[in-house]
Amino acid sequence: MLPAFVIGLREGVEASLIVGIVAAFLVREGRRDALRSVWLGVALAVALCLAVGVGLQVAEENLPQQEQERLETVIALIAVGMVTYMIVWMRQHASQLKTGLEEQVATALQRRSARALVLTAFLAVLREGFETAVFLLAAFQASSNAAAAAGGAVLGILLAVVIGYGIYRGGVRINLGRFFRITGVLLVFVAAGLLASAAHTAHEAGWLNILQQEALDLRWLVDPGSVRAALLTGMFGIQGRPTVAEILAWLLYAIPVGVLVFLPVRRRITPPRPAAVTA
Amino acid sequence: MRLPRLHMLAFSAVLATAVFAGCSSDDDSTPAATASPSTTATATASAQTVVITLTDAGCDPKDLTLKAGPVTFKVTNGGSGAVTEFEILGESDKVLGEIENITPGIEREFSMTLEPGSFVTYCPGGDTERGALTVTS
Repeated sequence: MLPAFVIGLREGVEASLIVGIVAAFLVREGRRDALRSVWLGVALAVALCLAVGVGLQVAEENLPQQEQERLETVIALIAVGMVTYMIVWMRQHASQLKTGLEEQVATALQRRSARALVLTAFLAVLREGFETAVFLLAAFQASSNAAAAAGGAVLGILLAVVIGYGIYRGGVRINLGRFFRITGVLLVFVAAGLLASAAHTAHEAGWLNILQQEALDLRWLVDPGSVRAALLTGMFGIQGRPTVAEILAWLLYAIPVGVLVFLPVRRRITPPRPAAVTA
Repeated sequence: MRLPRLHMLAFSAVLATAVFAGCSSDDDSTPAATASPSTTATATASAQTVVITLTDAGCDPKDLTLKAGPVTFKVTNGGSGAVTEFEILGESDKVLGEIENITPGIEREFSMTLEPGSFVTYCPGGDTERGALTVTS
């Protein structure tokens, strides 16, 4: 049961994390109206993935692994772009918060941006969805211990959804300044992880065949087959034995963008008022 | 900016961990170049089907000798779930074929066409991740 649970959780949590943050972000930005599109997009992606999974099974075909990895790579790169956009946007608005213009922060996101976020949620589900659908169907037809395999897989995916929902609820409740700060930090790790994960899938897709030496052994942290590993790999793209390419991708994103997030926001420098200089 | 200091700390801690953890890890997975006869499976005839069992130790069998041409790998899991993936790697570890998410109880297969040469069987997460696949013409 545990192994299937771990895979369900790992495949599900990445998507639900992104969907949860996107949903919370839209609500915080006064675009609650776009939420319906998010849920619709997510439902559509889930239906699409299940349909493809069932279709493959009926046709007795395998999921074309290489194409699947390519799709995952491309979607990951798009998602990195969108998440970066959110980071930059929040940083700008956080600075407005600090200058006391709280009211103005609630300026609604432009329609195009909201649409892009809806698309991001849709793609996030699609990214791991095909693989997960195929896995889920396989688990339900397991030759031995079918109940354990299927139950584990379903529970894993459910927990992933609960985590995503928790992030959404939490994101909606905490105060805006805090939301920006916490989400900003979280998003740097998510995006860096996505980029590392893109490096991983790009290799499996046959696109990236350099820098594939094992860079470090993180199995003390990301021990294969454990719940912790599922969460770390799913949410932050951290592999047990990351390659040089994966580490490089992670660092090349996390350092500059991390610095951007942590760097004090440029304060509007009000020149020291020359004390009582007036006429 | 009051709060970011704490985040900065957490952030640099994670960074430092990520960087320094690398120093103590040099137990590279050694490519198993020698195929011991006991673990070598040899397939015959034109339609080759190879059964691979994933165990916590790695691929079982990890060393294979196959004939060039189409082959189907039937992959099952006999371990605890530490290994759930089987791959065939070519030059510079290019992934030539793979199947993922095989947990205990699940059996999945994939087919590919093998060219003569030396390849690697790869079970990430196993104690021994790599084995040798020799393809004869």
